[in-house]
Amino acid sequence: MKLRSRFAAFLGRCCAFTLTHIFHRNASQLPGRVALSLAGPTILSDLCVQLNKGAIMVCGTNGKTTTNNVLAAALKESGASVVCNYAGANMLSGIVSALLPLARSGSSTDWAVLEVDELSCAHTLPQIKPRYFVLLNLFRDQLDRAGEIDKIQEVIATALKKTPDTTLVVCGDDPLCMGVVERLSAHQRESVKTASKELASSVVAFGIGEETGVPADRVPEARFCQVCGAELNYIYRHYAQLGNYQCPNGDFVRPALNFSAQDVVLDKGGVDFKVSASTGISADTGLSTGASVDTSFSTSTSASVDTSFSTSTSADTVSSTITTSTSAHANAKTNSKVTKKAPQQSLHVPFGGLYMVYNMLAAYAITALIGIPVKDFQHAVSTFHPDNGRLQSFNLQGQKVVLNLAKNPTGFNQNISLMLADPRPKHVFFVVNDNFNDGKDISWIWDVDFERLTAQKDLTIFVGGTRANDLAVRMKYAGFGSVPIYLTAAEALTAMKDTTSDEALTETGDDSPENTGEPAKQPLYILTNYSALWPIKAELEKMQKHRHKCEHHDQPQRMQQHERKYEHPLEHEHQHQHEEA
Amino acid sequence: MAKRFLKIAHLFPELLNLYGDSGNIITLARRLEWRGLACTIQEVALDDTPSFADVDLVFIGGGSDREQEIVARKLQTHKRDLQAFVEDGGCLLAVCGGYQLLGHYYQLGEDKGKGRDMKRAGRGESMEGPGEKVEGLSLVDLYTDRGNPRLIGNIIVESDLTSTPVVGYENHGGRTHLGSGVEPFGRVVYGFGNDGTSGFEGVRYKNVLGTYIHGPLLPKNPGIADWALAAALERKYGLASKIDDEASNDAVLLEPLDDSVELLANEVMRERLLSGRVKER
Repeated sequence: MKLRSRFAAFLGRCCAFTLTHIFHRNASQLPGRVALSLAGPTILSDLCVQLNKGAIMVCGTNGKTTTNNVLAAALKESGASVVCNYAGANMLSGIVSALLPLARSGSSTDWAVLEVDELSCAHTLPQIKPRYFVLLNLFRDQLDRAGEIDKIQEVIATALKKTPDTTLVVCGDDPLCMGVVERLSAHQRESVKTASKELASSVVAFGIGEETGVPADRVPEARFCQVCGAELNYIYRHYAQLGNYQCPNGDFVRPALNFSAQDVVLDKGGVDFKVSASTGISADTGLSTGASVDTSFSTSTSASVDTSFSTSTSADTVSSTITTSTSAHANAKTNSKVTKKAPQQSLHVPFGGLYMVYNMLAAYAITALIGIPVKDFQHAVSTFHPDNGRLQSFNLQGQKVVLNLAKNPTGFNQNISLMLADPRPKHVFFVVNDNFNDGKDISWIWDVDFERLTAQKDLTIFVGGTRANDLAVRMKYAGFGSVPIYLTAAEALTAMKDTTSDEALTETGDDSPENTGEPAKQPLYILTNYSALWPIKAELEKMQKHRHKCEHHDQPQRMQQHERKYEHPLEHEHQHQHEEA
Repeated sequence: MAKRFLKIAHLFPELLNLYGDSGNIITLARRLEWRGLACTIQEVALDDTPSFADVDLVFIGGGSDREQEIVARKLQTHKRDLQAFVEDGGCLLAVCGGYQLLGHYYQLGEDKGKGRDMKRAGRGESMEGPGEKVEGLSLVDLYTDRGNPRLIGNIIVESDLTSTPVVGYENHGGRTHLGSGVEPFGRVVYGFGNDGTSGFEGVRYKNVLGTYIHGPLLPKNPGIADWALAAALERKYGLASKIDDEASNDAVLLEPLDDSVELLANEVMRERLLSGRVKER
């Protein structure tokens, strides 16, 4: 390791120690920033060469944190040592902060498991050169910051072009993710023609391989062919733009799935599904580098077939290649040559809805590729307790609260599906802030299908956040009349006690065995976007610790709805913001 | 009297839906419904052949450059129909990209054009060079060229169409310049507007309203929604269809609604912006 990087990392670690042990503050950003300011971004590669096995990066609009943390847990379960940005600090300085422990002398770490913000790929990927890069999905999110999806695809593809040894594990059901692969394939075809030594990454596709019977929501994304721009036809669609698609002009179809989920069953207790893996993907023993994974994966992403190129590239490069084929038929043929059906693996995930199948499938794919036993993966999933506000459950004296991040239309729509799957009477607290990290433009709340919730009986809605009044308007037009605005989770909880009549309390029928004879209380679902998540999570954790305080909490002033203006106590404080600006 | 109703055409919602534009349609539909008026929403798809003969209100929203270009080409074949609709006093609401399409042309950004040619972009060929000019519909005397940087942020404008200032969000690389015969939608109080320098936002011509304001435009600005509905009702049923409003003791096309939730959201946002509590960058 270069002296400069070593020194920078040392100062960064001192900073982390001081923040954590003296000031008891979150150290997910500043230490990285300190180290970066001294050594520059090359500190990433200097740190990553310390890894025994390599780095895995997880990217995508929704599901990064959960996928990344489950993956890290599974690796640990198998006995590997891991560094990880668990808390979700996924921009440059957050990633450096997570990697700083690698600079300790005598440290021996196998894997770095890192979630990365889509636009931060440009700076991090070429430095880290991960063995595996997971691309979960690309949804519309924070348009004012991230720009159009075209731009995000270009950033990711450009970064991947610089890391030809990286295996791309991609959601084949998402035409927008496959648009990134299409850009890579085009680049690869070009590289072959110009005899460039640069090669695109090898590609492993995952997806849900059959219709699930779960009603699909509206499509908030453009669902267009990534080659010719024609509107895609869907044989079936799971949600948003994810499904089995094909271009009417035949130049873009869903790729053959290397990891395919089947028999998906959703219920209140989570999701069950089976995974079929196409072999031909040999498990990597972990001794070799990613480049030596001995396989060729078939992804049918493009019309222009260049049959010669998949063999002609092998001279001085990796043995994995992207094989392209024109049609589903040709694709199946290619596929039968290189793949054998492996026995199905059943997986049970005790949290989340349909979207969680994709997250877990991606994490499973990585563990399978690096040869981690499925029992280790299943154990990691079964014992995974999210404590980062992603589907985090709280029990406040029998009052169940479920907190989840929902920061874009697809995330909200999936959460609405999750709530519709829970038939109990319930309260919902929607919170939307418009701080920088949230995206300052909140017009997307009109793309959320809140109208679907009107079908549910006994649902009471509260709203909050710096844009509480906008949410109130949205709820009015969705058919919920005037909904009350509350500043904090505590206020919402107190209001629940007022609005829930005694009869309603007894008929909720929570069949949870933990019920201690007390009347079951209606669950409260809290869905918030980014910057509102942390204060609410902290608030709920505090309440869980000091249950009694909850009882004596002052009644909130229940103002008339039209008089209520939202003044968030944390609107001007940025200490709880989790991401750098 | 038979129940009054409006037919609203939403042009290409599959393509132009970038900024919660469906919220504008929801707003128009609910505000008719709450008054006991009926409406039908016609979602016009790319391979449809729309007719504007029986349409009372047309809405066109914004999309990415790529999608906007597809629409620009498609609409060339319906230019005459739309022109006739506009000249006849048809109400046309155009937001963001839709607004740019109203004019003679708009200019793409420097790196744009890859939508039509993804393969070229994918191969990493340079897409640099001056942005291409895309022919508009020439429904209104205006044109849009390109500027740097993009004009992004919250916006407040004062408009003659409504007593409450209009609040929303803008995000555009285009700089729109109005011809001499047309008037702006409003005067910028906060934000950038048409070109960031003139102090004006949007355009008004007959019953056409073009604007960069999304957020979406109508939910928090119910006065604008009602202006559009009233314009469409007047064209269809004439002023004779006015009804007596007990509150104002006046004959009106639209019964007033309780807009306290909407107007509070409008006021809260304006207050946050004007007091400097919202950092735009």
